[in-house]
Amino acid sequence: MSTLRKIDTRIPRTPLLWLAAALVFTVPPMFGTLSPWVPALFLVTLALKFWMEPKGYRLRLALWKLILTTAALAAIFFSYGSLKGIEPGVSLIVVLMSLKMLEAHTAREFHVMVMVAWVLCLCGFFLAQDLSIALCLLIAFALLLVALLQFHRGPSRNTWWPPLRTAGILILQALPVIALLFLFFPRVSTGFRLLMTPSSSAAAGFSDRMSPGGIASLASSTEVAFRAEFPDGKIPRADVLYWRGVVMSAGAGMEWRARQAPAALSPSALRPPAGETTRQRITIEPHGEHWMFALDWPVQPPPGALLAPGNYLWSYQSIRKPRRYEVRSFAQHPDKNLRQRERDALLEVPPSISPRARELAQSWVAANADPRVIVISALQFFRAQGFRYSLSPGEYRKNDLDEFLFERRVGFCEHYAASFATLMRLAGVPARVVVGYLGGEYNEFGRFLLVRQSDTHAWCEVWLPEAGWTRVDPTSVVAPDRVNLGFDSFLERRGPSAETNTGAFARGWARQPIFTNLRLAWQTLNYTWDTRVLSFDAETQEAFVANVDLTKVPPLQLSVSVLLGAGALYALFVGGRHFRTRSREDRVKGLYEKFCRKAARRGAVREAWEGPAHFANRAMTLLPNESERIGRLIDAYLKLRYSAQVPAGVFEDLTREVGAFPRGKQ
Amino acid sequence: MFAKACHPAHRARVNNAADAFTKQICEVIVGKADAVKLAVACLLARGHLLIEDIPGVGKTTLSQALARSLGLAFQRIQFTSDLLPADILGNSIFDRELQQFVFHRGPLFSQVVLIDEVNRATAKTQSALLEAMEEDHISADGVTHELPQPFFVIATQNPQHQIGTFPLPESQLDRFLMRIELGVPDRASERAMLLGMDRRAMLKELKPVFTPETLLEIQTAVRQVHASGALLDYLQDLLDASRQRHSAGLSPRAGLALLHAAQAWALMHDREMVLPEDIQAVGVSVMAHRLGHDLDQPGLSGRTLADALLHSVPVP
Amino acid sequence: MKDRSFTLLRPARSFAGLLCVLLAMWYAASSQNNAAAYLLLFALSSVILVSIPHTIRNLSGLKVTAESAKPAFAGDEIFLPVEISNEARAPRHSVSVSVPGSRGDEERVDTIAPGKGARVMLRFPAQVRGEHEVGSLRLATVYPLGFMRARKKLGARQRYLVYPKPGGDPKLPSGSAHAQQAKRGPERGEGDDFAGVRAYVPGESQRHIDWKAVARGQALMTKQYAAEPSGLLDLDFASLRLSDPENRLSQLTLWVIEAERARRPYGLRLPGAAIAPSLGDTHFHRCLRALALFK
Repeated sequence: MSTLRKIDTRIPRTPLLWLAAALVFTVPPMFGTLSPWVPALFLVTLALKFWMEPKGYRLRLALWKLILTTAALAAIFFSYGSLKGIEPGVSLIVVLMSLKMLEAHTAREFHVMVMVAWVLCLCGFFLAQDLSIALCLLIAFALLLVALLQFHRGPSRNTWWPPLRTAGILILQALPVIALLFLFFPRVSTGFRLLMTPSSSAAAGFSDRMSPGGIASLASSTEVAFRAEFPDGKIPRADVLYWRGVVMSAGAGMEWRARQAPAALSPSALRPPAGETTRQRITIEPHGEHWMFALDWPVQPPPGALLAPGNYLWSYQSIRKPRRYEVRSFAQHPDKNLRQRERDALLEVPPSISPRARELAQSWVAANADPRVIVISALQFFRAQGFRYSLSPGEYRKNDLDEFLFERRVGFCEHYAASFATLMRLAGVPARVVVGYLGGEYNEFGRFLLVRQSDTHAWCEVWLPEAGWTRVDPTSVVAPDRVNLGFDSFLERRGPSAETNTGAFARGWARQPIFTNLRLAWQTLNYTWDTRVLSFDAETQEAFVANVDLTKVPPLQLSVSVLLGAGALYALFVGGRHFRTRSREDRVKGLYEKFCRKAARRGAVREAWEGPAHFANRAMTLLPNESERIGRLIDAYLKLRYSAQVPAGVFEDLTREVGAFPRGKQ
Repeated sequence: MFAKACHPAHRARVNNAADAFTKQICEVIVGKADAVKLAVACLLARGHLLIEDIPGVGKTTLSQALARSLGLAFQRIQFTSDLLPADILGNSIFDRELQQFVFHRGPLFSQVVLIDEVNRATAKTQSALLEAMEEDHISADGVTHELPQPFFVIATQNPQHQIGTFPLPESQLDRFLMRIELGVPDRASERAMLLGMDRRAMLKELKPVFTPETLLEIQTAVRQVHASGALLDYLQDLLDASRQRHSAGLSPRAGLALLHAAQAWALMHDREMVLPEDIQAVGVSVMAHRLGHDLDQPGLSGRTLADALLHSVPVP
Repeated sequence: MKDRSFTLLRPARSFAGLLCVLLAMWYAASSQNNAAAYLLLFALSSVILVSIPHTIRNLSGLKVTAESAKPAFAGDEIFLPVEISNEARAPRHSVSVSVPGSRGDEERVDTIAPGKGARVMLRFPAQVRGEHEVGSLRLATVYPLGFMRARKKLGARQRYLVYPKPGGDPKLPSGSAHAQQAKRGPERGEGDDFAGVRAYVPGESQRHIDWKAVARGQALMTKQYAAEPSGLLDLDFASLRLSDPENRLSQLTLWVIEAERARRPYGLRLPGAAIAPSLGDTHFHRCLRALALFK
């Protein structure tokens, strides 16, 4: 039964419920990035609205609105210390939406609320872009469609499925358009750039300075640093998965730092050497810094980056959104020359360095001046003198180098790398510290390597005559498994002492095959989202569009596929129509309607209320040439629709007569 | 509704009888073929008939012609404002010889009852009549008396709003299957009437067309005319539409009336199935007097409303 | 009539807001080069795009029928009952109907199931007296999302009558010139001769209730007495002293209403037409009709 009502200004309850459900799904990205009171306020007002709506309460007084808005502005200012930036901006939108909800009650305002909710989805994407967040926001987006549909369907009772279904159909139909727009819509970048990146993401990963405790603090972070695919199918062994991040060639003792804005290496240094290469396709998570990762050693920088001295990749722009690039690494260092000026810089040690360390280094030189032997002596020193590897080595005080080398002898990779490089320089061997990642978790489903922040590692490189730069990892001497197994497994080997029992228990559960598989599958999805969607930016699109050149496809193949596609669509359309009119009665009706359409074209238009016999009589007088056919046709139709017993063949008669009825000229 | 269609030969015989009946009445009532056919359909569908028109257009003549041609016993009652229920139903009179009350049957105890100017009588008398029409029996002094079968009431009335009339209660109007109007005859028919025989003389010469058996046979055949699902859809659409549009829509009884009348109409046109056109043909006569009480639309007559209904509900 | 009208599409009122949201999304996405934001932008615009055929389809298969409208006085409102029937296979939602150019509001139907119909009562001001015709009705819809509005005109002929606007002096003229008599307070127009009874109308004087009938268990009836010829009102167009014929019609209309209300038989005399004195609904509308159609 149809329902009839005047154009009602009040928002009915069902669409409001859908809207509320949608709004709940916009909340997750807010938690964790915004001040906690903002999403809390949002949820509270949402609940409040549902308490108020049936009672007819709402925020009416302009004064109250003004006071609340001012209070919200002040609260945002106090929470963030400013009103600029993305978090205060999004908070502002959220708070204003909350107030709007309390106030809104007319149909027009419902549309406004839905549109603000869409803006909230957008804000969500600026706060976080994980797959989980994206799914939440997609659900919110779909629920908003449902809310609109329900709103226009009017207050029908207990019908949650039809609007949901229509929304689903709309989205399904929109999918191809979305894909086309996503792939081909020109992404003009506007000249004026808003700084809208959340400040929190800049904190991910290591910084351009290394000091004791810096990397150890990352050891517990499971955040993804980047993912790497090996398109050639060669996956390097675990012990050579040294992902180069930044090279720190300045500093001494325990404090090392990288160059601020490195210049590009001279093109002569970029001559690719002979030997084996490993191709990697890397999707990097935003970390707010400039470096990009590659296995040892990259020679040619990907677009948008340069190769800095020390052979590491340096992006021109800081990495604030997922980025995907391809890079080729060589097993051998390409540059066999070290100029004197560079050599001097790499031997620089401040005079304030501890005399004991200087003495130790000199003792090795005195024994044998060959740099190779010195390196072995130093490693021997770490191996023999009871050094231990620990995630929590405790704090080192002012005289940290001496304390580490001669007293406590407990440290993390950064301690070993820093002290080893210092000792080498003191012994007259050019050395530098490299910070990056070691190892990673291989995902069988997605065939990619997942590298987390917990895989952060620091190691050394020394310059040896003839061999050139050579990687030396002092940590491998102290804790060889750390290198061979990867960090997670390494911790596990070390037994319960490394962690609490409950942690081990939980970890044990998480190692069950089903969970592992689920985890890997989820990672794969995440990876696909990151690589296929998030990293598809203006530059990638440009490259993609340049690649998609229809002129390259053979014309025959192109036309055949277009024809096949169109044919499939048409078949689907016709099939759908046919499927719907299956029953005999419907088909009879359909034939009669077809006859009416044909007759109408020739001037005999049936009124909706007109019975078939009456119409046939009229049509016979209007179209005297066809009167016999109309007579036979209508006779068959009347028998089929109204008679008790239908003789065989009447349906075929009707089909034939309707088919043979001539179309109008027009 | 889905009774098997009757045999073609049988149908033809039934149809011939109905045709002869119609023809005979048309000889008396000149130029009113449509109204006569409707009246015949009404009787064949076992319905009571109400003829409404201004005085002098032949209402009484038609009703008498119908009654005589049916071949049934008939009585004529002229309703007046002082007529009492007992005058038509009958009285209980004390019989000295038997020492008890004896019920003396009134004129209503007849197979065909012609009632002239039914709206002249008071509401009480009308109610007694209509109750009898509905129940096919009457109650007097606590005793139930069966009316003879078949039982037809053919009533005539003047249009409403004439001074001194009591409009029939709407709930009771429903008991007439059809209400037909005669209207002024066209010029040619009127001329024929002026030149022709005296109508009353003609009435006296009318011979019954049916035997009671034929009538029964026809009436049985009417109910066997097939009404398909598609037709019932249309019928129900009409009922639905009337209920949506009018405060007093068509009742289920009205739906049944419409179906029976349409079946009779189809049979008279020698068809073994009912078409939407049959419903449309009898529609106004069956529906008008049931729709004429719409409180929302006092300015519109039932005929207008019924006509609008038929011209707006699409045939599925 | 077969409708050959086409469906017009234009942005609805809320489209401006949507455009702002889309622009904001585009600006934010492009300035950040944020693929996820682009995805949202494209999803929203694609859904709006694919909703357009749905909007257009939402009007197909609909038929409108205007039913007979009660006459109204000029300046009042005409109530036009309209039936919208859905001959399509799918339900139709949120369809509004209006009379084009009538300055009346549109009426909305939320849902019409397939094969069913819905009735709405369209109201629009009755402007000029006379017989008018509604030639077509306008159907419009913003379903499914409310950002695009499709509309089309469908032929639906229906005539309606607008009576002249009642105006002037409410006091009835004092009968015909030759029969000035019998001032009997409010119960004018009633003679002494019993003429019958009619149903009691609440508010009438109880003096003439047929109490005997009540005692017999019948409904309340008022006894009517035949009016004396002297009480007859003769409303004559020519005898009015107003100069503007429209004003005269207004005055006559008012008197017809007043006379009917006072249950005083009245007749109407217009140039070229005369209606004999009488009373009652039929007579009342007959007189008003004559006044409405007066040329």
